[in-house]
Amino acid sequence: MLNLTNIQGNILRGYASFPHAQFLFFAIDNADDAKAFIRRLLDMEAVTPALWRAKPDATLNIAFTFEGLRALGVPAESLATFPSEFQEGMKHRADELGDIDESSPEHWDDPWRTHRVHMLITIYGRTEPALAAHCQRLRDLLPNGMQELKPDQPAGQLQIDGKLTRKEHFGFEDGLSNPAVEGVPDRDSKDRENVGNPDDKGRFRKIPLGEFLLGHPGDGGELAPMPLPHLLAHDGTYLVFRKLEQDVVRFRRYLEQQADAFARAIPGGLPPDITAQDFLAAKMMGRWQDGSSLINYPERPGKDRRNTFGYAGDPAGARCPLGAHVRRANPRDALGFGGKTMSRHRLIRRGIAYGKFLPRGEEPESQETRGIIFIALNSGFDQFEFVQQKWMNFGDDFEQGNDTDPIAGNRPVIGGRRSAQMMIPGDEASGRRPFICFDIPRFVTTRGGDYFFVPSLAALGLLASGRVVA
Amino acid sequence: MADRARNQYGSGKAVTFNVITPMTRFGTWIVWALLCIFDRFKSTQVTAKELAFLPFVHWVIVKRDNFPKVSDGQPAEALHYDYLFFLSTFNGPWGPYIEAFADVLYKPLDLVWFWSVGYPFARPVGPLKAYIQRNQIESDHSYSAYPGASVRDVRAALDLRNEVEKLFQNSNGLSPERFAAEFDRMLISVQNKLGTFGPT
Repeated sequence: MLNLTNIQGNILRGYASFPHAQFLFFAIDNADDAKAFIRRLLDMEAVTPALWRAKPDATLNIAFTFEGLRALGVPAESLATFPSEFQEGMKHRADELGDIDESSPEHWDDPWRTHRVHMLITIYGRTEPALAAHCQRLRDLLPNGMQELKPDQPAGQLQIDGKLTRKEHFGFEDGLSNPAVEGVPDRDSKDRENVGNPDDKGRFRKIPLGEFLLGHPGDGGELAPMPLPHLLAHDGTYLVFRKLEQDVVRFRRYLEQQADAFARAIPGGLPPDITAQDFLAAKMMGRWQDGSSLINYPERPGKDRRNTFGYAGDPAGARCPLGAHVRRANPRDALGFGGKTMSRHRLIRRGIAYGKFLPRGEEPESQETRGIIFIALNSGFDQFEFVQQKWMNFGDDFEQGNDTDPIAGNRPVIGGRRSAQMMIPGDEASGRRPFICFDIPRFVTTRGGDYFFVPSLAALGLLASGRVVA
Repeated sequence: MADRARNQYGSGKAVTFNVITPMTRFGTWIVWALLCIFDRFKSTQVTAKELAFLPFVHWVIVKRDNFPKVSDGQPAEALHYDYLFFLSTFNGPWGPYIEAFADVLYKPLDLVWFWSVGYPFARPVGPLKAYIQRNQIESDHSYSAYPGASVRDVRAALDLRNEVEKLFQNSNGLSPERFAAEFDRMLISVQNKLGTFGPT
């Protein structure tokens, strides 16, 4: 049974109509103070559930790291039942996650580099004043036994030409494809259509709730391993928080450098109104900037965000390259076997941008950074780590050898060569020749993050009571 | 144990995987017959071969009176069961390997392992993982002819060599324009076989 009043918000449905966000980080020095603080928030009905009676002006949600649960006084018998990745935390998983070189934890931003965050409070507002007022109300309630770790992390939907958009800093529509989950409406918002996993017949089937929420059957009818006690875990989920800095100038410069050579690979020339940079960027991303799919619109953007497409009809990647970012992140039917080898590796994403959009042609101000707060939800961190290890930072499943994701992948030296190339397959039908992007620099760098547990509202009550018994 | 089945960066291209399980005496003959069928009719191996994260899968029956001894002086053990020895290598993390194995190859797994004591069936995969963990044996050493290459890398390299040799043989006396056209044709035929490779 799906009890939306017990599940925290921003898990099964996104906060698309709350364009402004603030992430606040806390350390717990005194467990009793922290428990009283949580109790107070619950009594005030301040924690936003998945289903609200009246739409609030701002939302508030709570998550804990493993150290946070320990600081809150959760007994060792219960802590030991949490997954090992969660117990270790993201910093210690750096090698597995490919957080190496510039992305390694010693280069992260504060508070991630210097502190172990215990508690994450996420506040989203419909307006900036509503967000600021909500943050202030929360800070006013903060007890002595908890300290806020600075700096906080503002974020929000990108403002481009004075309008709020759902784009990310490289200029692409973001959050277009989230999993369609059993028992949950198909749409995140008016223009966001979710799809599930492919089946044997080339159709899409909804994904079982248990892939994203603890205590419910997942793929194959199984429950994900649950921490104890049951009440603590049920209707909860695991949240991956990553601060990913995007180097927009480097991305645009690379496209410019490659543009002429790429254009020469197209015998009849570029389609009208399409620049080589835009075409190349679309090939690397796997979608046009307006969100339309290369599968449906291989030559020019279609202003069409329909999401019910597959890759099986494009096995060589003539339309959408096998190594393109979106084809890696969600391979749909590309891997065959009726989707069975990809179905357990889906993630709900609730990312939101941070920093100011950099208009084309403008130089950034020094010290100004921008990127995305990547948020993924899954019922086991192995789901996220698989995508990160095998699909972002390795290419074997996509016939790409060791080559990493052209947009979000790391750039390790493997076998004496830096894995930084991407094949853009040619097309025999149109005569377009294959084009290899060599020496792709790193465009995305990890600047912080951790693994969090998002309890249900009932579980928050249990944590506040201090009566957690495994 | 599962965590040890990892190389640098948690993946690796040929992580070894050994499971040894006791079988009933009756089961030994059934499994022997099944393995003969798998060996005789190669079409039964097609799906396993398509799972390219599996470089190698092998089942061996070790009879109770035929266990290897370190030396002739080692006394023979009085064993109650015959044993099924499963040897494999895989490419990637342990958990997803078992899941993909169980989701795609559950029929042959169930047929062969059904005769092993305590086998819980391939699906659901949770009990299977626990069963494997209990019966898995770590390798201290293993041999790999191409430790830096996955199955796909090897197949790609063979195809690439084949195509380049074909071009070499057929390009004698071609005009530059014709050669360029033939080269482009060859390049398109191998375009998804040119990824970088090496040990990870």
